Amino acid sequence: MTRRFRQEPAAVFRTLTDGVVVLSLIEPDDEPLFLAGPGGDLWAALATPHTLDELAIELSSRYGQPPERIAADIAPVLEDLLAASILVVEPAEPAEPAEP
Amino acid sequence: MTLPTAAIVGPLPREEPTSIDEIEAEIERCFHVVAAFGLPNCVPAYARPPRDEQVWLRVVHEAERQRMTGPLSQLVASGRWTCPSVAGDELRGSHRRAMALTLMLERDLLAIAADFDAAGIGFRVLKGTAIARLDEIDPAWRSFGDIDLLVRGEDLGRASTLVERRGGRRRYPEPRPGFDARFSKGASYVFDRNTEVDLHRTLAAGPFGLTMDLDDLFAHTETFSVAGTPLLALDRPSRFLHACQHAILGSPRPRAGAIRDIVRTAPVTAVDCRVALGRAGRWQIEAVVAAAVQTSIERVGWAPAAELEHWVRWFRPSTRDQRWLDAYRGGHRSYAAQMINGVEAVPGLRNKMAYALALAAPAAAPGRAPLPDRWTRGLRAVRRTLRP
Repeated sequence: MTRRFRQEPAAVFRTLTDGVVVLSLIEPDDEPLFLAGPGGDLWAALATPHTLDELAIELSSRYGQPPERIAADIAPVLEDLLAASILVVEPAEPAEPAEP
Repeated sequence: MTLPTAAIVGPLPREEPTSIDEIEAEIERCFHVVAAFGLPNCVPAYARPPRDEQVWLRVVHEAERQRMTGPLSQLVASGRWTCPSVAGDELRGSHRRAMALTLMLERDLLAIAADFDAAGIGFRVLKGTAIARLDEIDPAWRSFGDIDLLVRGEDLGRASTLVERRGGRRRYPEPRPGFDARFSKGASYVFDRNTEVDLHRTLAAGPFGLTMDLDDLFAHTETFSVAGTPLLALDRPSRFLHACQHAILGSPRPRAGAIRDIVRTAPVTAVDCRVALGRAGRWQIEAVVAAAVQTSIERVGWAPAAELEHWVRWFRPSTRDQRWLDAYRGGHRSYAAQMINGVEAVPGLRNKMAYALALAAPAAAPGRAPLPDRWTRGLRAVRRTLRP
């Protein structure tokens, strides 16, 4: 199933001129993470749910790289952000009911 | 929002400063531009960017000390000042650390807010995160180093217990049992990772905190949210009045961040001005507001709303208010004098006596001044009680 990622609602962040500082509120002792440069753009895009492919297309125009290359670059980053509890995977949308 | 062009610099020739004093003056002029950057209706006196890397580093360090790395970062990012790479690296690192701290404080705030809600303790979020999220262009413009919460005097004891349960250690002991709930500004709690939570009963120490209508503070609110959790702040007129108090009464010389808060929260329309000034009159803090507005005009070249500007131009503090103000400002700043002047602001002879007694004979506690000093100070307070 295709996963849709978005920012963890229980996270706080600040957008700086050179990236984003993010802190998950899930664990009381977590430290803030700094997402530099493109990481900040990735974070901004994740304000709304996106699949990996959608993110790659959105960022490819900004960075002038083919979506396949962007997808390969950001896939491990998304897993890292999930592990750090600052991203969540949206519940799958219910399937369209079949026409009677 | 359109950024001001006030800080634009031109390639004018200039003479090299020849003394340390001139360099210090240059740093201060630069800092006024930083403080004004992004503020509406502010045209600071002309200042060029720092002349060289050493002065740049001093400005960056000053920005860190005064929690102004946000405006300085934005000023550099705007391209109006070109920053040497060493100072730029320093600035970026400093601002990241400042923002990381604000996030950790917001996490602490949510934890304390949950505790207070569970205990039925009403509170209002003051300064820091409230200004960052309600008044600044973006929260990343506003640094802060502690959490400030307003609680009712009768809730102060329970609120203190909850903060201590989270690891807070009270900075100064209560003078006498019951003093906090009736007379004090509040209490500060420090935590192991060098953060602080301040519980406020009122918005200032001494007389200007004692004349305030505390019910008024709780009655006028505005909601903001942190990670989806709604929190109550003061409404904008009260935030403005608090910013004025903090700037003028909180330190001998108003800090740049406090000046920014004044301009950010200032009333804009004639109606807004009347609301804010009416409240200032009821709280007997008009002299503080006038001093704060005047200082902001001088420091960052602010043009306040016409009604506010007109009021400040014609306002004259009473002799009493001027005497009260003198205890907070400049080289004459004296906490003892603020406390003694507080006797005049406490209503009713019985309350005055209780207040003076707490100053004259506070309970013994670690770090408290020796008894003779406290006794002398207390006697002056008692005399003021009897002969205001």
